[in-house]
Amino acid sequence: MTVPRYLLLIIILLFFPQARAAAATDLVTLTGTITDTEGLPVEGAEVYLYDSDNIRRPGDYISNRTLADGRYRIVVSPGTFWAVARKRVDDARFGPLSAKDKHSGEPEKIDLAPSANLSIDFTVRTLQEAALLHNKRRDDLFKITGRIIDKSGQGIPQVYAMASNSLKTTVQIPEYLSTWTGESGNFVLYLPEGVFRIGAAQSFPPDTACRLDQEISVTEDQDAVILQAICEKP
Amino acid sequence: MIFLRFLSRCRFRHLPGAAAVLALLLFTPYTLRAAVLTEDTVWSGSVELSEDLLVPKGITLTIAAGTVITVLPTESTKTDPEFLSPLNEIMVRGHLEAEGGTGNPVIFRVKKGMESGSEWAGIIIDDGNAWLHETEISDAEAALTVLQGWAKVKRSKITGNRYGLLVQGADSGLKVEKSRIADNEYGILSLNNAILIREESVIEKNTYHDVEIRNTLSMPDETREQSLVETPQNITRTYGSESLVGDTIWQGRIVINGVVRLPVTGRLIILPGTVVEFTRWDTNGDSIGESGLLLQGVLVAKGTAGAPIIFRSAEKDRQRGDWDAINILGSDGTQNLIEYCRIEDAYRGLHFHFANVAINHVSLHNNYRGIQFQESLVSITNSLLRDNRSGIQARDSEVVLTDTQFYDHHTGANFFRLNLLATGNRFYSNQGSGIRIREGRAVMTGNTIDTNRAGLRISDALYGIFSNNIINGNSETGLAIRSSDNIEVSGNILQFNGSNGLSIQDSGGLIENNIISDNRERGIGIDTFNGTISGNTVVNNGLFAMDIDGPKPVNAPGNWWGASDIAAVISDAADDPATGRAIYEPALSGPPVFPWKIQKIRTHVAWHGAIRVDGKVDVLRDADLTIAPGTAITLTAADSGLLVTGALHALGTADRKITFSLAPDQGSPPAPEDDEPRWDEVSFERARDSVLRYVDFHYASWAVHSHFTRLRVENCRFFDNYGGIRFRSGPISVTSTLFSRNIYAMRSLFGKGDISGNTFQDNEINIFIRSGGSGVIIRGNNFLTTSRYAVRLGDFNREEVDARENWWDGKNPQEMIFDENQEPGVGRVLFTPALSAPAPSLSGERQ
Repeated sequence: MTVPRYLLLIIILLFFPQARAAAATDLVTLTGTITDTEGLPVEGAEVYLYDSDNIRRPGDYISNRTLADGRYRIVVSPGTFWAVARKRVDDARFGPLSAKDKHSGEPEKIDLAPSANLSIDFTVRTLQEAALLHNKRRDDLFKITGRIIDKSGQGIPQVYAMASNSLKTTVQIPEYLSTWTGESGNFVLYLPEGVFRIGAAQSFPPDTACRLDQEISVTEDQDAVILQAICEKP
Repeated sequence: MIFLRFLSRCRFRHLPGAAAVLALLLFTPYTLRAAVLTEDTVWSGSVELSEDLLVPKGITLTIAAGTVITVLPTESTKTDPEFLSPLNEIMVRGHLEAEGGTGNPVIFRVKKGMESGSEWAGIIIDDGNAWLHETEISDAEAALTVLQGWAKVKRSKITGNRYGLLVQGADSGLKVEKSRIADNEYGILSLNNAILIREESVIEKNTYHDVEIRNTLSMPDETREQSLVETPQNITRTYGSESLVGDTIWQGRIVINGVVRLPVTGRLIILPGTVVEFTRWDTNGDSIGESGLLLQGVLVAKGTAGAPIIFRSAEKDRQRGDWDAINILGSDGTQNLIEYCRIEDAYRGLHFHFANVAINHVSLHNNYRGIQFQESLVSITNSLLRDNRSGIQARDSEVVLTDTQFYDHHTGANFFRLNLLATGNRFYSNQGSGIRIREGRAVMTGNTIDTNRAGLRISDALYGIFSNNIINGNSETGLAIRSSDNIEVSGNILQFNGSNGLSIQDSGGLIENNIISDNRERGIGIDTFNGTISGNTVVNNGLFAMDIDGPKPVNAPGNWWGASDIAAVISDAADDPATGRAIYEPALSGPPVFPWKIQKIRTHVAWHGAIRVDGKVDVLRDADLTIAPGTAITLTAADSGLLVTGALHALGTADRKITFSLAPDQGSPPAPEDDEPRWDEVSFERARDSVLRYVDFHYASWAVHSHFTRLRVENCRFFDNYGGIRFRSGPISVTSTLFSRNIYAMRSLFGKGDISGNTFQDNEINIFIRSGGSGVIIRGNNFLTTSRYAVRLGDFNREEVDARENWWDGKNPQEMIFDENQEPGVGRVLFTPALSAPAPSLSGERQ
C-alpha cells in the first residue's frame, strides 16, 4: 500500500513540530492597500507576483481580490519578486489588459526575506494614465504656452518669447527663451514659480534696447498667453 | 580591452614568443567582450564571442581554417552607435577573411544548447569587405549582411538562419560561389539594386524564399537637403580641455581640442553664424574622437535660417566619429535650445541625460548617431537627420517629434519606453527599420514611413495610437506589431510593401478603417491577434488579403476584401486546419468610405475603393498618386481638391471608371449655371507626366487645371462642372473625351495641346482660347449642341487657331465660332475643311 504524499506531509507536520515551525517561518506575508489616482481604495483589484521581470504571462502568485477597503494580502515563500497590481473591468484574471483596465505600471521589485512581512501600497491607473507616468518635466517647472501676434491678431513667424525674473525691463539675454516661432506664432516657455517680465524679439541676441513690457505671475501651467510687443531693432 | 588586445596580439601573431602560455590557451576557448580590433588580427582554435566585435577601417581580421567562433546570444538595448543590431554582431568596416579548408571549415555558431533561432545578428559588412571561404554560419538573424561594400562567399554552408545572405543597396555586392544556402527562412535577399552574382551554388529548402530580389521605389532626391554656401572665417578662439565660467558667448569660429565643460551654474550662448570645430583627439586609439562639449549648465545655440550654427570636425578629411558629442547632462530646468544648427562628423551629434531640450530646424549628418538621449524632456521640430549610421535612439523620455525627416540611416528612429507624440514626420530610405518602438506610449499621426527595409515595428507596448500614417514601399513588412496590447491602427495607408502590409504577432487591439493594398505578399499576416479588424479596405495584395498562421480565430467582420470569393483571398483554418478561423462575415459588399486626412502625399500611394477628400491634398514633387479602376472620390465643397506637383495616374477602365464628384452630404448637386458650392479642382502645377484615363468629373469649379505639365486626358467625361479643363502651356493631350453641361468645357492660355476625337455637347462654350492660341490643335471633334460658342477666341488672342476637320453638327461652323469675324483683331479660327459626318470616336453619343 502506498501512502499519498500529501498524507505523509500532514503526518510529518503533525508529529514533528520543528518541521511545522520551519514550514510556517518559510512563508512571508505581503499586505497593503490598492488605491486609484485620487487615493480612494479600489475594489476588485489584485496583486500579481512574478519570479522575474517578465510580467507578460500569468502571475506566479495572485492575491485575494480586494473588497471595498482596497486591502490585499498574499502569503508566499521568501524570495525576490516583481509585483504589479491590476484592476480588470471584466473580472478576468489572465490575458492582456484592455484599455479600461487599470494597473500599477512598471513592476516593483520586492525582496521578501524569511520572516520579513511587508506592507506595500499600490496605485492603479488606466493604461494611458500609466504611460504618462514617464513625464520628464520637473515638478517645479510650469509650461507657459501662447502666441506672439501682430496688431491684426495674426501669428508672427520667426520671433521668440523671452522671460526674466529680473525686475529690470531691459536685459541683454534673458534667462528664459523660447524657440523661434513657426507660422502660427506659437511659443512655449518653461518657467519656475515666480513673477517674470516677458516679451518677444525677432533677432538674436535681442537688441539692447529691447524691453520686457509684460508681467506674468507663474504658479501653474498657463496657455493662451498673448504677446504683442515685438522688440525690433532700430 | 587591454587584456583582449594582449590576447589578440600575442596569442596569434607572436606565437613562438609566448609558447608556454599559448600552449595552454590554444586548448582553452577564450572570450571576447565588446571589442574594437586596433591592429590586424588572426584567430584560430576556439573563440567565444560574448558581445559585439568591430573590425574598423584599415584593419584585417583573418580567421584560420578550423576555427570555431561560438557566439553567446544576448539581446540588449545597446547604446553604442557604431553597432547596428541589439543582438551580438561582428561589424566589419575593414576586411574579414575566413580561410576555411576542405574538411576544416571556419564555423560561426551559437553556443550549444542556446540555439533556438536567430540568436545573434551575424556578420555585417558596412563599408568594408569580406572573403568567406569554406565557412559555415548558423543561428543568425542574417548570416552575412552587406550594407555597403563587397563580400565573396565560396564553398560555404549557410544554414539555419533567418536570412542566409542579405545584400542591400546599389553600393553593395555579393558573389556566392559553389556554396549551399539552405534551411534558412530566406535564402538570399537582395534589396534596392544591390549586385548579386551566383555561380554553381545550391540554394534550396529555405522556408519562404530561396532567392528574393526586391528593388523598392526610387529614392527621392529633391527633398534632400541643399548644401549651404559658407564664408571662411578666421579662428576666434581655441579651447583645450577646460571649464567655462558663468555666461559664455561664442561667435565666429571656435576650435576645440579636448573636452569643454560647462558647470551647472553656467550658460553657453552661441550666436547665429558661429562655426564650432572639434579636432580628432583620440587617446585610446579606437578611431573615435573624444573632443566635445560636456554641459551641465544651459546651452542656447540659437542660429537663424540665414546664419546657422555649425558643429563639425576640424579635420581636413572629415570623418564620422571625429569628435564625441554635444553632451547635456542633468540640465532639466531651463530649456536648452538648439536651433538652426548643423551637426556633423560626431560620434553622437546630440547626447542628453536628464535634460530639457528643444531641437528646432537642426540638421544632423554624417554622425555615427544623430541624437541619443534618455530620461529627458525633448521637443524635436522641423529637423533633418540624414546619413548618420543611426538617426535617433532614445529611452525613458517624453518626446514631441514634429515635421522631421529621417533618411539614409540603418535605423531611422529607435525608441524604448517613450511617451511619444509624433506628427508629420517622414522616415524613409533607411537600411533597417524606419522606426522601432518598444514599450511606452506612442501616438503617431500623419507620418510617412516609406522605402525602408522595414517600416514601423512596435513591440511590447501596452498602449498606442497609430492613425492616418502612410506606410508604403518598404522592402519587408510595412507595420509589424509584436507582443503588444491596446494598439489602435486606424486610417492608415499600408501599400506596396515587400512582404506584408501589416503583420501581427501575439497582440491585441483595433485595426480599423485602413487601406491595405498592393503589398507583395499579404495584406495582413497574423500569428495571434486578440481584437477586431473592421472597416478596412484590403485589396490587391499578392498572396492573400489575410493569412492566419496561428491556431486562434481572428475576428474580422465588416471589411471590404475586393473579391466576390472572399475565402479565396483569406488563408485560414479552411485551408489549413492547424490554423485559426477568420470570422469575416458579414463582409462589406462594397468599399467603405475612407476619409482622407493626410494633407501631403510624399511617396507612392494608391487610392482604391471610396475616398472622401475634405480640403486640399498635395501630391508632392517626389510622390506618385495612382488611382485604381472603380475608385469613387467624393469631395466636400469649396476648397477640396488635389494639388499635384508629383505625378497623378488615374487609370480607370471602360467598365470600371473612376469618379470625382461632390460628396453626397454637400447638398443637392448644382446645375452648371448655379453658384451653389462645388468642389474645387485637380490642379497640376509643373507636375511630372500624368494621365487621366476613364475618369468622370462632376460638379467641380474647374475639374482639371494644369500648368506647365505633360498631361494626357483619355476617355474621360466632364459633366455639370463650371469648367472642365483649363490649362496653360502643356503639352496636354485630350482625346476621346466627352464634355457635357459645363459652362466652359475647356479653356487655354498660351496652351500647347492636342484636342482631338472628343465630343462636346450642351456646354455654354466648348473651347475658349484666351490668348496664344497657335499652340493648340483641335481635330476630329464633334461639336454638338452649344448654347454660345463651339470655339471662342479671347480678346487678347492675336493668333490663328487650327480647328480643321471637326464635325459641327451639320451647321455652319462660323455661326458657332467667335473670332475676328465678330471682333476684329482677336485672331481667326481655321475650320475648313470641316468633317462631313460625325467623327467616329464618340459619334452619336448624345447624353
